[in-house]
Amino acid sequence: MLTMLARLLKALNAESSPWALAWAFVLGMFMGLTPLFSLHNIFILFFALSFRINLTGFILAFAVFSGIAYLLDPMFNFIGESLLAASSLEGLWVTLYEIPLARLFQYNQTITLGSFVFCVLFAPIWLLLSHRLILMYRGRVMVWFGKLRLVQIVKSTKFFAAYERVSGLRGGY
Amino acid sequence: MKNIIRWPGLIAFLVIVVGVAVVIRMFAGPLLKGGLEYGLTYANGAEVNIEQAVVRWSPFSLTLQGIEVTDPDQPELNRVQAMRAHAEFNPWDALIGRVHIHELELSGVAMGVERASPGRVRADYQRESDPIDWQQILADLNIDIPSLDEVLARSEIRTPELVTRIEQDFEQHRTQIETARENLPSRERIDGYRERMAEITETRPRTPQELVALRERLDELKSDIRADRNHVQTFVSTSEQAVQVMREDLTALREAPSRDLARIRQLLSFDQDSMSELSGVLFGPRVEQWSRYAFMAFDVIGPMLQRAEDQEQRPNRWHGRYIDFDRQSRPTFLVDRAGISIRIQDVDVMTSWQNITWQHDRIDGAPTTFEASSSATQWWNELRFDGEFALSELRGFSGHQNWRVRGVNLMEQSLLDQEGVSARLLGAVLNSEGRLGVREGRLDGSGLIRMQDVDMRLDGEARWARILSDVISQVNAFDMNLSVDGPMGQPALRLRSDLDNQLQQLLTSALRQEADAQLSSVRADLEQQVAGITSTWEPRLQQFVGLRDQAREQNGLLEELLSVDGSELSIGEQLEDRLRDSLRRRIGG
Repeated sequence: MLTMLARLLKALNAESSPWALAWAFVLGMFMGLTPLFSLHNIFILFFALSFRINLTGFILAFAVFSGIAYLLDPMFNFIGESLLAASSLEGLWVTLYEIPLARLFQYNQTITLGSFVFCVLFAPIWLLLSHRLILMYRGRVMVWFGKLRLVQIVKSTKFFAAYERVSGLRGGY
Repeated sequence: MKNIIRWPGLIAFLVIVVGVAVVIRMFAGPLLKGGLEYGLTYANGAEVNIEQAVVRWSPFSLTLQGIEVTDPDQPELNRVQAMRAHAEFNPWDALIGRVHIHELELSGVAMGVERASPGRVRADYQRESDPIDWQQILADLNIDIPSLDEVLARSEIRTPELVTRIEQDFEQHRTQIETARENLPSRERIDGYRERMAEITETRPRTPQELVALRERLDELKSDIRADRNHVQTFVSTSEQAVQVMREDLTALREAPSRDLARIRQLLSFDQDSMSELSGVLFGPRVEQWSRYAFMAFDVIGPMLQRAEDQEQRPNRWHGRYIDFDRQSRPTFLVDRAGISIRIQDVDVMTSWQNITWQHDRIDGAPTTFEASSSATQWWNELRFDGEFALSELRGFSGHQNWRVRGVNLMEQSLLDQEGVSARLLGAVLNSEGRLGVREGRLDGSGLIRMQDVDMRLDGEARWARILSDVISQVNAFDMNLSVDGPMGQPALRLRSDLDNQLQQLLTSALRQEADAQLSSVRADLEQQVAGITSTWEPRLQQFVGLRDQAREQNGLLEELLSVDGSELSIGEQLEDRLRDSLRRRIGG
């Protein structure tokens, strides 16, 4: 875990593009907030593996959002219930119900639908926010951060030693 | 493009996806086997094993072999097992949770078969009612046949006590009679009274003074007679009372030994209460085993469907819920037709099922129907079972079943082997019919089991078992009334049989025959005691009767003497002439 966090810091510190990291956070959010064993997550995994996004950021985002998902499940359930119970959408749901592929996506499952819709709506915001935060980190925070007494202490710890080791490696995805 | 695509990642993804597809294609059978074992174990409440699952892709079919469903209440037994199950269905429908099987074949079905090793029972399994523990019932019956000595000890034989009491009474009466007899007038004394009375009545007084004197003599005589008559009457009364009491006592005494023996024999009879459950102990476990086949629909299939329905409807707040948009309300599980071949002895009995589902409301309320019929074989003349059931929101699990079996040849089998007693049914012919209903998941029904040409054997060390082993072979036919009540899957069976009455009567008869030899010596002893007193007192009673009769005769004589009145005395001719002249002068004639 320490090694993985060190890799993330390394990526943040310049070796990955801000968009690669931001997209990794978005895809990790999808996989973390929606039920893991869902068909759409295969596509998320496909995107994460096939495109040059930061895998470390993806995995960490997935882990963090998986924890957050437990807190947000009631809200996802409410969103899913509301959408599936909406009379204006009933025709769509009834049509999809007869399509096996749609059923495999578990669209009629309240939490699956609720969390997916939430992710779709929140993804652009989270993408831009992540990108902005990364740039801010690299431009201002990283310098100011390095001067902090706390960071000086951290640099003398095992964690920093791990970070130093990782810094010697190539890649950093 | 080259900068965007991560080729190693893309290749790895494709390898993984293709690998997973290949694994599913190659290991679909084992994967399905594991999934089915897990799901069926949940539905059954105890371990379900499938020896092999074979998937055929076109047309898609699934064949299961060696299915064993553990009985959660008796994990060493299979509730049901089947050699082979085969079904064709649409895999895409199955993937989205809708299984529609047109034709299901199930063969080699058997129930209550011992497992190679006990199956695991789910920790959350809860039996709805305790099954009948026939072993405990046998222990609770505490069957005991009293020995003759025990019976004699508590039989309260009354003859000796009666002999003593009556002898005392006789002595008392004899004393009273003899006391009264001492006051009786002698014959000479009575003759004297007669002579004196004759003398008085034959005397002819000549003067009024003589007449008055004669009357005084008569009064004196009657006074003497009256005193003796009172003594005689006292004796008559005492002797009559004594004779009556002694006669009654002697009669009671003569009957006393018989009454005592009758009481002993009554105590030697077998306790009806202790026999009331014996037929249940002997045939209960066997009837339960037979009922597994007879009530398969409500004992196995119904409960599994109901548990599957419960599982489907179970809400889970953390996993959300699936919302059904099927406007055609198709059932998620439906078997249009099923042919289930049940193996009984070496004969396969074919049962035909229609509409197996737990969502009967979605097939317009059409019930699941089942029917099994078999013509004559070497094991039976006729077997017929039919019935139906349905699960609905309104009525819950409801249905009914009828059965009729004729001429079933029961082979040698163990009935009981516990508490040092073993019973075997060597052979019998069974006929049975009945009806079983189910309403809101609870069974209620009754039936008659008629056993003929019965040949049973019982062995055991207990005294009751030894006596029972002698009489049980005399039982040739009996009926058992079966009643069923309780939740599906765990129905409670109750047996009532005239076998209990037969055994009770036969045991009592055997017990009395065994005791008769000893009882005859008891009888001889009692009769000897009675004879001792009757031989002494019978002659005395006759003597008392004779004395009483004599006293009655004396009383008659004395009463006759006392009946003579003073006005009846005759007067002489001289006194008569003088009285006539005196009268004539007074009237001036």
